[in-house]
Amino acid sequence: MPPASVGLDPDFMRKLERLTVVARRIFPGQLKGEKRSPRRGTSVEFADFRTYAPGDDFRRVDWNVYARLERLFLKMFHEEEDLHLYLLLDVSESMRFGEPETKLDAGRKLAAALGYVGLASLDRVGAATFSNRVLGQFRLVRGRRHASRLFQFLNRAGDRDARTGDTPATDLPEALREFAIRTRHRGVVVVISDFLDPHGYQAAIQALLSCHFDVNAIQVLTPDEVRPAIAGDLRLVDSETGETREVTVTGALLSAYRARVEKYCDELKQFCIQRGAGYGRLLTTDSVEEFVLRYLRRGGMVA
Amino acid sequence: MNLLNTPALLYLLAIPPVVLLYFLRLRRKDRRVPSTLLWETATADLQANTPFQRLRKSLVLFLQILLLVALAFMIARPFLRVHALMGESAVIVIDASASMQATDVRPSRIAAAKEAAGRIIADMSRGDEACVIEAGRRTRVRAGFTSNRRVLAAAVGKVQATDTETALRDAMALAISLAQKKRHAEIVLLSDGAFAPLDDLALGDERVRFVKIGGNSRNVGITAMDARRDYSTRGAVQLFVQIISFAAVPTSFVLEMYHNDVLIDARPMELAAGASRGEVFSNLPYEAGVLRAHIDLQDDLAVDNSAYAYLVPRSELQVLLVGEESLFLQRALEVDPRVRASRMSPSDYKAGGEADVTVFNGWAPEKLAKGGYLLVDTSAGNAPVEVTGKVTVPTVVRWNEKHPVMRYVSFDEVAIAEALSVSVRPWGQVLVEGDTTPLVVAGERGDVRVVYLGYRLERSNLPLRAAFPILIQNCLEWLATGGETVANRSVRTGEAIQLAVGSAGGAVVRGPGDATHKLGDSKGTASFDATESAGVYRLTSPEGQFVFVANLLSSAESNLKPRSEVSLGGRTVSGGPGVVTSNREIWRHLAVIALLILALEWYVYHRRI
Repeated sequence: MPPASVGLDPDFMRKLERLTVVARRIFPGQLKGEKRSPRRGTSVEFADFRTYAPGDDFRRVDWNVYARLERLFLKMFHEEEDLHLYLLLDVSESMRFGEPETKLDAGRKLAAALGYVGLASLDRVGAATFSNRVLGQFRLVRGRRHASRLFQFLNRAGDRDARTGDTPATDLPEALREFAIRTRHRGVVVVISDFLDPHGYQAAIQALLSCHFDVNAIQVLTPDEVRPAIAGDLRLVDSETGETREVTVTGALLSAYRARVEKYCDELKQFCIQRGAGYGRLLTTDSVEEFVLRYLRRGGMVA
Repeated sequence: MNLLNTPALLYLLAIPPVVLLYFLRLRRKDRRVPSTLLWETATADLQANTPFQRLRKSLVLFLQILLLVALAFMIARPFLRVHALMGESAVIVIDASASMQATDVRPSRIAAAKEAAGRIIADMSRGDEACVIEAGRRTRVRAGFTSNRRVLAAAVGKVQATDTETALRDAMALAISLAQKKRHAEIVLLSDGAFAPLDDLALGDERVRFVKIGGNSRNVGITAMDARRDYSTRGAVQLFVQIISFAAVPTSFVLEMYHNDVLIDARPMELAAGASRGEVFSNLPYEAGVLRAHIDLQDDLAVDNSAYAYLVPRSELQVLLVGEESLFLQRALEVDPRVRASRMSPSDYKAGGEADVTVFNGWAPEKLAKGGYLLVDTSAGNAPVEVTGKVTVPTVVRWNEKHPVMRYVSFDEVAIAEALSVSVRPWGQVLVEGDTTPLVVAGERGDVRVVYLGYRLERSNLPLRAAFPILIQNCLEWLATGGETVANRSVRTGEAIQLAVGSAGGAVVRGPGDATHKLGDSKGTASFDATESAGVYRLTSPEGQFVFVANLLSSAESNLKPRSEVSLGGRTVSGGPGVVTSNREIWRHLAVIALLILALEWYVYHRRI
């Protein structure tokens, strides 16, 4: 029975149990798991042959080949190992928007779902929250029994700092660079954020990619951000920087804004795809369940 | 552009509050958004693609201020000084009397009036109507209501100043009745104001504009002239001329007297400013012809410098006296050198004699034949009276001074012991009215002309009074000639005169300046009223020639001093200058503009251009 979750209903969790997180690269794991490992090992999936070198395990010599060719070849198998899955959740102020669910809520849910998928398929799952830096970290765990701890961590994610009562503005590059440096084991990284960062997202994703992480960018947006329903003379206050921008909302401005949003998302998507990273866009009104089961599956992020 | 309600411009003070409100309004509603990142780029995109962004932002404010300005100016009731009618239609009354011939304004007052009228017509707005009335002795509608300026201008061009007095009452009454038929009509009177106050004019709430024509002037005019036979000198003519100076300074001139254009007398004189003087010319020869008094002076009005009188040809008068002999009558008849008197007893009398006038004293035949008759203490079947009895000591109540027979005759203190009591037939005209019965009656019916004197001369003191010979003389004149005396050979300019044109027709009247008027097929008597020019008129008919004169003789017209205000229907109307300006209010246009601005503002605001 799946443990109590961050708004994940049991039925959904059962469906999640059938999924696994797919890595586009093959990462070395620590324990035997369900993922292929770059190490050739003892699994059943054949990988390659290689000539015998002294010291190799005789047990792996392909005797059939030796009988035909009279040369010693070692039979190489993909070693099935556990995968490292890192869930990076943006908990900056900008994530606290959205009705009735905030982007943070949706992000938590998604992280919980993906985490559960990972745990259920015996991957190592770690999580971290960040805004301008890594704020909280959930150490790598393995096994379904850790699911509730993961969910608890995610539930607390985004709780405001007790001292300042505030969360610092996003700084994607800085936070992700910090994460990349601190993380020894490479693996799949799912970055859940709105990617609305004046510092830009390119450097951040690039930092992960250059550390050989398999990066998946999930952009969470509210419908109001995509199609704002505002009118009149407004002073827009940036929730993070506090910067203001006076606008007189006109039809032309709205359409320009919508075009701008589409362009921004497209650029992000192109940026990811061109670098072999995954991209997904989640609206807070979308069903996380459907998003995971359908879009991520189709996008090859889970299988 | 001027304003009728300048204080309303204080409403412009509402502009600063509006600007203030605008800026207050621009303290925009704060709205927290996750990130302004995309908005920044979006507005940057927009601004890059749309010029005048800054201007557009304040377009609504600009329109609002514009709207306020338009409204404030609308309330301030701006008007343009335009030459225009005050109403939508105008009745243009042009004074065409003699005084309008004055040349104190060049070329003349009438020309100035016509020019002013032309300007009014030229300044008419589309849809305005006007009509043109010429106010001379007679009122002429030169053009009915029309918007056709060309027709109106032509009508004004036809207006001519005459030598007549103004009969402005008729013209104004007509103008008022015309104006009452129109909405927002205005009566424009172009005149020098030289007319008597018209206080009894039924002027309603019609707008009247009096355009004063004329300036300072110098004029000396003949305002009265009368020729009469001087009985003390047995038939010589006495001429009385009254001259009034309307000049502001003493004026000296020569008063000349012409008889048939031959100068027979000239008197230098000097008149103080505003002085009047009566001059008598005695012992003028009694010869048929035209007497003309002339002031030899170049002043501003020429028409009143001459006055005319016509002396009828002298002829013998056959007078037949029938009935009782009367010494008084005989003496009275002898005064006139023309009279050839004869006497006859009633038994010898036969109708149809040669006599011009027959006097029946105490007896008359049953029926009077063709001719002129003086009935004294008697009456006849076809006389204007019917005897009903007798009255004693009737008192004279009043007498008719206008009738030619009563000219210069006064029945003051005339006492009568006994008189016939009569009833007057419809064609009789009572000349002297007693308390119980008419005493003197004149009548003319067909060829019979009768004067009835209702008492014996010896039974009253009338024969002892100076009036008696004059009365008899007048009777003879009237009975013999139908009143063809010096006096009734003269008319005031513009007045009608009854002319005997004979039975053949084809009579022609030749007026001053060789103007000819054909009387056409008129037979018997014809009324001739084309006497608008002062001077001598000659009627030529198959039966001979008849001369009469027309004179202005009006101090009202000779007084050229332009009145700055006139009294019309109890209302005093001040005169304006010749240039007629009108204030055309344009608040309606501003209201439309304000509405358009409002609509535009609404559009801009909601379209958020």
